[in-house]
Amino acid sequence: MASASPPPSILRPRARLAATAPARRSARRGGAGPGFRERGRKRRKDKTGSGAGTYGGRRGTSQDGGCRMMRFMLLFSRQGKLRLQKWYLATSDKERKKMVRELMQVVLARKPKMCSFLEWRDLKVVYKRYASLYFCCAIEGQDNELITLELIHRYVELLDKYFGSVCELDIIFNFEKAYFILDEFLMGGDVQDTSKKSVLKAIEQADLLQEEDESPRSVLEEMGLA
Amino acid sequence: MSDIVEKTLTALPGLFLQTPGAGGPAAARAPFSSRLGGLIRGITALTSKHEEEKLIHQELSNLKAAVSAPTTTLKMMKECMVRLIYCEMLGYDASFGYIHAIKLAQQGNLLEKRVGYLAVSLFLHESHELLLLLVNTVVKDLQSTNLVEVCMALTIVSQIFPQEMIPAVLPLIEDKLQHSKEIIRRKAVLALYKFHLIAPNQVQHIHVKFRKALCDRDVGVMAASLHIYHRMIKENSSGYKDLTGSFVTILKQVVGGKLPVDFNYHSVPAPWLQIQLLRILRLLGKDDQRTSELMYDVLDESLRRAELNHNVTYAILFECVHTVYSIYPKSELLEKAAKCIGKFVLSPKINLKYLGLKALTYVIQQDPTLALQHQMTIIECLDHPDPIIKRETLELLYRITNAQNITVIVQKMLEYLHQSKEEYIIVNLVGKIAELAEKYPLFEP
Repeated sequence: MASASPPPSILRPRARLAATAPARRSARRGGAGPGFRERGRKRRKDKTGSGAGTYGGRRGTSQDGGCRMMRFMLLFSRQGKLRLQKWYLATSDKERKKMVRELMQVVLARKPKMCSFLEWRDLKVVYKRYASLYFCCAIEGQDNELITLELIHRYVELLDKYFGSVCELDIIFNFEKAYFILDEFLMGGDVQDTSKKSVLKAIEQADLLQEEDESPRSVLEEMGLA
Repeated sequence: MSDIVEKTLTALPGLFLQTPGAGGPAAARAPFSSRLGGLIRGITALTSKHEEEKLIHQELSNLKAAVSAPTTTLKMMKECMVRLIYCEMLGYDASFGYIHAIKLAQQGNLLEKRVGYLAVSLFLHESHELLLLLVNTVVKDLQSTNLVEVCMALTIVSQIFPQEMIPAVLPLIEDKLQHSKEIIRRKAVLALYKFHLIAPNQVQHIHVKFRKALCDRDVGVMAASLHIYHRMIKENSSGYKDLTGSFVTILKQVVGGKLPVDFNYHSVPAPWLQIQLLRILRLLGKDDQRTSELMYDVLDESLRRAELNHNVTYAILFECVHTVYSIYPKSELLEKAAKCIGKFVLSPKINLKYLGLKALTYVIQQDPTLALQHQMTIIECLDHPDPIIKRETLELLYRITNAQNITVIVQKMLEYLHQSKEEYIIVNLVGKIAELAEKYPLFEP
């Protein structure tokens, strides 16, 4: 039984997060440890013929539903495994896969001392690595890269607060929660500068039952069960 | 009353299955025995792409059977949906599940509805034929007495909604602008922003309501309205000059720390809000002396306040500098801004250097002496190991070419071209070189 030391958060990684699940978590997950060891596999090329549908008739990229500050956000591991993808512009599936592939290649090739910004196609990509996860945001060319970097950091802080010392495994196993938080924070691609509390409260509210003020408080609370 | 009891009783099993201490870290993590967990562990144990394909195809056929089976409960459907999202993320097609995502959003309880809506936002796109089916669910949820459902409906609308059906929900959303809860008002504003983006004519008549949102007592709602204003001012700045005073006042309050402490990000008050306001002021003050004069004070204040050594402060400074240079010029402000740029360019931190170079490209035409001041640094950056810095320097040099330095600059550009593999950059650079060649006909010795 491991000593009660908290698992390293991606926000404050103590040691190289070698993706072996910390002992405490592996006990909870029924020995998930060995399964997540980084195998150092080469990033697999995505075969387009793998049955992924191409949806014909998508609108072109430029005249999409309005230009938001953010075009898309990706989270991926150092091995090039996608953990989260949120697109704020309309593109075909095929195009997206191509973009993800290319971008991962470019970002993974960057050396540690380099800028956190890079130019890619007609977009600027802002990326930051937290432990074993890369957070990537694509913004319009003229946008402020530095504030986007802080946006990424803010998102990680929110995740950290919600999960309590978040690590990559949390995001892998609970990616839908990560999406909920992202959507609350970046509604449709624009940053909502709200208090950190209100973002998390909105998520947690949906984790419980909530009724409008006119109706009596949740029956659970009245019965003292909440 | 019985309605609520019924709702509560149906939700009870779901609630009890969550780890106790609902909300917060404990409830955040999925139970380790989830099927998604099993799938993920299964995939990670494999070593080849081929095996992964086999496993996923197997999983997808299981899921296909599960979603179409009449015995599948909504709770099981939610679980299936999560796995479907996962498979699509890995690059496999799960389009058979799309209709079920909509159904889940329609019929599920809160937790299931949430996953259903998420799946819809990830699976579908604006012109997808299934999107129309979402409208009914959204209409129903907008009218729900349960606030969380209303929030979910508004969130999905601000992400994806069929343009032709805007009239169906517009009155409902307009109604929410006066809701007592600020989160609903805020989300309603954002939903209307989305409508403005995809169909501006349809929200033409409610511009007056946006003004109300701008004056809302809740900061979040006000901040949300700024997105719309930024867009509208971008399209037509003259129509909104009268609001300059309001924006200046808001910015003064933010910079002066009048917002609740909650809105601080690393001791900086509402940085994104500040930046949004600076951008709006930039558009309003351009080529307009009278309007610009209204902002000089607050810009001066922003330049002064941003003294902390944090990235977010530098980001705000950058926007401030950009604004100072874009509006009607004032020499004291320009001096301060130039000093700022100097600090950036000379900074050892590479991100700041990049920002400094970028700022220089914006201001260089207005103030060429600035380039002279920093010419040593610029020359160093030309040979910087990071290609992005090099590129930005070339961008800068492109703007200050003259007969003397043209040869050197084009030479450097050609060097960069040789080692660049990015198609877009190559095309861009070649275009620039061609332009310069026309401007300065060179003789080849």
